[in-house]
Amino acid sequence: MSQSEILEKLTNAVVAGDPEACKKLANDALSAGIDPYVAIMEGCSKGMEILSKMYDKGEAFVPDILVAADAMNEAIAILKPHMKVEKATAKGKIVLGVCEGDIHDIGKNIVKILMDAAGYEIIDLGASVPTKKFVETVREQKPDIVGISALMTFTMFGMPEIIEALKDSQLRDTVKVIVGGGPISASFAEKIGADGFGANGPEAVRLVGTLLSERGVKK
Amino acid sequence: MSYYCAEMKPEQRWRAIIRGDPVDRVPVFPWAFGHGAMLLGFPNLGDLYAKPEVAYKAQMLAREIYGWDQPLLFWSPSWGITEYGGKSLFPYNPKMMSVTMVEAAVKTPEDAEKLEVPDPRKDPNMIEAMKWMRKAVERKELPLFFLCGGWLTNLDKIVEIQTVMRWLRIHPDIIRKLLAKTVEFAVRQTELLINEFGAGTWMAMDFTPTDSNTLISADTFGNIVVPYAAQAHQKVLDLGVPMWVTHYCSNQNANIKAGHIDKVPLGKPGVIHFGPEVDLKLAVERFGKRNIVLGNVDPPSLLLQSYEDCLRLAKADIEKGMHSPKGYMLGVGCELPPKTPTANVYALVKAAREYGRY
Repeated sequence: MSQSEILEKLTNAVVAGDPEACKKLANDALSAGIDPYVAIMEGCSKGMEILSKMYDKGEAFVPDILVAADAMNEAIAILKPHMKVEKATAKGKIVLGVCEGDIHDIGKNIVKILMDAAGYEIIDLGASVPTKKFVETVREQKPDIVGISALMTFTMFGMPEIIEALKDSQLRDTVKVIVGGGPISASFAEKIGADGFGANGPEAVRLVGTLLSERGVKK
Repeated sequence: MSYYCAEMKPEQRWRAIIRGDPVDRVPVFPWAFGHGAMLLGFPNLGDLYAKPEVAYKAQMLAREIYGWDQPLLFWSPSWGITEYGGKSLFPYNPKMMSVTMVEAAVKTPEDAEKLEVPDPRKDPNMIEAMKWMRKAVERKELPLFFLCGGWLTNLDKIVEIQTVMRWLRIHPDIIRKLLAKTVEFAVRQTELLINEFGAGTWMAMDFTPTDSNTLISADTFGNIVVPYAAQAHQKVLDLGVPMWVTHYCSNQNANIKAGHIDKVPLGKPGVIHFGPEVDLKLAVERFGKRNIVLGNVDPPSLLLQSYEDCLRLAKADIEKGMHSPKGYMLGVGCELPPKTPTANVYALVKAAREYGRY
C-alpha cells in the first residue's frame, strides 16, 4: 500500500468506527515510514473532520462520533509514542466544563472529541464544575478559550456566574468565553456577556477557530 | 373577572376533552414539577423527588394557586435507577434540577445479560408513592398520572448514557434486551397499580430526551427503540389504562418525518407533547386527528422574557393549536423551569382564559 492509501484507509476506518482496522493501519503507517504526526492529522483527524461535517448535516449522530473517537484513540495510542515533541504543539488551549449541578456532559464530550481531533489542547474539567474551579483553572492554565455547557434551565445561570467570577478575578480579559447546551441561545450568550455561542459540536469548533484567529493564535 | 368563576373545574375539563365533549377554554398543562417546590419555599428540589408527600402537596398547591389543569403526577423516588441496583443522588444541591444516577447498575454487556427485572412490590419508594396516590384517588383529585415507559430514556438510568450510545452501534442486541426488560418493568408497575387502584383511575406518562434526533438517528430510533416503546404502550393500554401522555422531548423532527412516532399507540385519544423544536402546527397536522396535542412554549423564554412576551408566546400557540380535531392543551415545551417568575407562569393561564375560550 502507498502512504496515501494507508492514510485514506485510516481516515475511512475512523469514520466507520472500526478499532481493529485503526490499530492495524496505525502500525502499517509506522512500518511504511509515515510521520506519526502526519498519520494523526491527515489520517485520524481527517476522519473526525468528515464525521463532524456529517453530524452537522444530520448524517451522523452521537453514537457514530463516540465509536469513531474510540477507534481513533486506538490508532493514536500506537502513533503518539513515536511523535516528535515539537510537532505535538497544539493550536490553542481550551478549558471545557459543565456548570455546577449539571451532570449532563454528553454535549461537552462531543465538543471535546471534535476539538481534540482538530488539534486543540483540551483541559476537560468534567461535569458539575464549581465556578471556583473554572476561575482557578483559567488562572493556572492560561487557556485561550473557556467553553461552558449546561443542559438544564436550572444550571444555565452558572454561566453568567462564571463570567462574573472571571471579571472579579481580573481574568476576563485574558480569555474568550463560549457557551452552549440545550436551553442556551445566541441571545442568552450575548445577554450574559459571553464571546460566542455554539449550537452544536461542529459549530463550537468553527467558533473556536474564529475567536483564536481574532486573538492572533495560529488556527 | 366574574366569568373566570364560571369556568369548568380542571377535572370537568379533562373528562370533557378525553370524551371529545366541548370544553370552555383551552386547558393548561405546563409540565410543572420543580416549580411547585419553589412555591412551597424549599431551597432545593431534593425533597420534591425524594418524598412523595412533598411532590403531592407541591403539585396540589401549584394547581390551586395558578388555576391550571395539570394532573397530579406520581413517580417512585427510585426513579428507575435504584430498583435495578444503581445508585442515585437527589437534587439537594440547590443547583441541581433532577435525580441523578451516580452509579450504573449495568456497566458491561455481561451485567446487562444478568440484569433482573425488578419487582415494584418490593420497592419501598414505590409503596410510599402509592400511599400518596391512594390519598389522591380517595379524594377524587383526578386525573392522576404515573411515570413509566420503555425508551432509551429509561435505559440511561440503568446504563451510563455514553455507554448506551456506544452500544447502539456495537451491541444493539444488548440494547434490545435491556429495552425488553424496561418494557416488562413498566408492565409490572402497571399491574401493581391496577391491582391497587383499578385501571380507569390513572393514566401513564413518559418522556424521551435520549430518544431524540439530537442524539440518535431516525433509523436507530425506528429500528431499535420504537418496537419496544410501542410494545410498552400497547401492553399498558391492553391492561386497561386509558391513555398515555408522551412527551417527545427535544428535536424529534426526523423521527416524525420517518413515520416512527405514528407507530407508538397512545390511546384513543392519548396526549402527544413535543418540545419547541417541533412546530406546533406540524404536530396538529400530523397527530391532531388521533391525539390531544399539548405544547409547546419555549422553556427558556418563560424563564427569561417579560410577562407580556410570555403572554404573546402563549397566545401564538393557542392560535395554532386550539382547533386541533381531538383537542389541544396549552403547555411548555419541556419541564417548566422551576425558577420561572410567577407572573410568567400566570401568563399561560391568563392566555388560555383570554385567547383560548371556545
